[in-house]
Amino acid sequence: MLCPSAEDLVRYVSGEAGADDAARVEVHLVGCPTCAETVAALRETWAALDAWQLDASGVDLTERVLMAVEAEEAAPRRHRWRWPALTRLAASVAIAAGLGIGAGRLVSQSAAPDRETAMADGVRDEIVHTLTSAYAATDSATGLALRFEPASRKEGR
Amino acid sequence: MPDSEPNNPHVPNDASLMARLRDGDHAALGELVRRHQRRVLDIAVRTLRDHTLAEDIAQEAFLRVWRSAADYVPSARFTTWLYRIVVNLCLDARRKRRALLAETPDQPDPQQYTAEAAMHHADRAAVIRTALDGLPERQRVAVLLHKYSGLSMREIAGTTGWTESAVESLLVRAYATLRQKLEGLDS
Repeated sequence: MLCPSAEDLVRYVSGEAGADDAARVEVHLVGCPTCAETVAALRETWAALDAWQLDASGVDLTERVLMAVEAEEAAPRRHRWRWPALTRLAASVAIAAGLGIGAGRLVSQSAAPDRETAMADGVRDEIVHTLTSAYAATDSATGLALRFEPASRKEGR
Repeated sequence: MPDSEPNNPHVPNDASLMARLRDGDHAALGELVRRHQRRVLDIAVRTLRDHTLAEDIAQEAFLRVWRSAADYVPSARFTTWLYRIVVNLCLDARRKRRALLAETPDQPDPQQYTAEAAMHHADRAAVIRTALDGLPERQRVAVLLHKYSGLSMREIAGTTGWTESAVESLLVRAYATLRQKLEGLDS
């Protein structure tokens, strides 16, 4: 009869094996002194390990944990850096410009068809135009006047 | 050690307590702590051998449960997730302690506590602790979770992130080594 694996014997001794598997091991042990010896040694080791007992029943962390939660909730939240609206707009445009120019380069470097190169050039030109043109409008929701002038134009005054 | 989640259908299970915690119910966290702290502390104390540090680790583990409540998805058992947090915190603390001890050689490393010294004190528990300390880290963690926390090989795999076959192999080798080291020790 094929011997159970070492893993199966550990499962058997630790009580982890299912009823059917445990019954199969027990039948095998009757006729296999080698496995019987292994199981006896495992049982001895398993029992010896019981000598290290801990008793944490006197410790109750509930109040401590809840107080820590309350302290964390009461603590001032980390200061979140608030970017001025115009800086956010500028950052968005810059990122978009970077992506557009990067995409344009990528397309032009990869021997793409002329139509795609033209599209990338168009995107890049549009972004460059946005960044270099004066802009004025009225926000329909707030009625506020929106106005943008490129830095170079201001400097030229 | 029996599982601490109740089978009574009138008592909320861990997943429903986590749902309440997600909605800001601190009492649910209190119940989870009361329910699982003993096992959490047992793992931490056995891994770290330092009750004060173990209590700090246990507290941090429950704080992480609270912080993560909004993102918690009950795809696995709550305890598998909780024990994974605890084991990771413990292993991290051990590494930090080892690094600290390496910088201050005058401090005795508890992991270097010799079997002879333990035998000299005729303390069977100390002999066992020493034998466990001599195991490679993964074998030691596997035995602590298997023998003392009562986790199955599959649950250990879920807790540690190791494969079940790796856990099987670790346990077989660990128990074989412990058998040699504990031979002759009266149980």
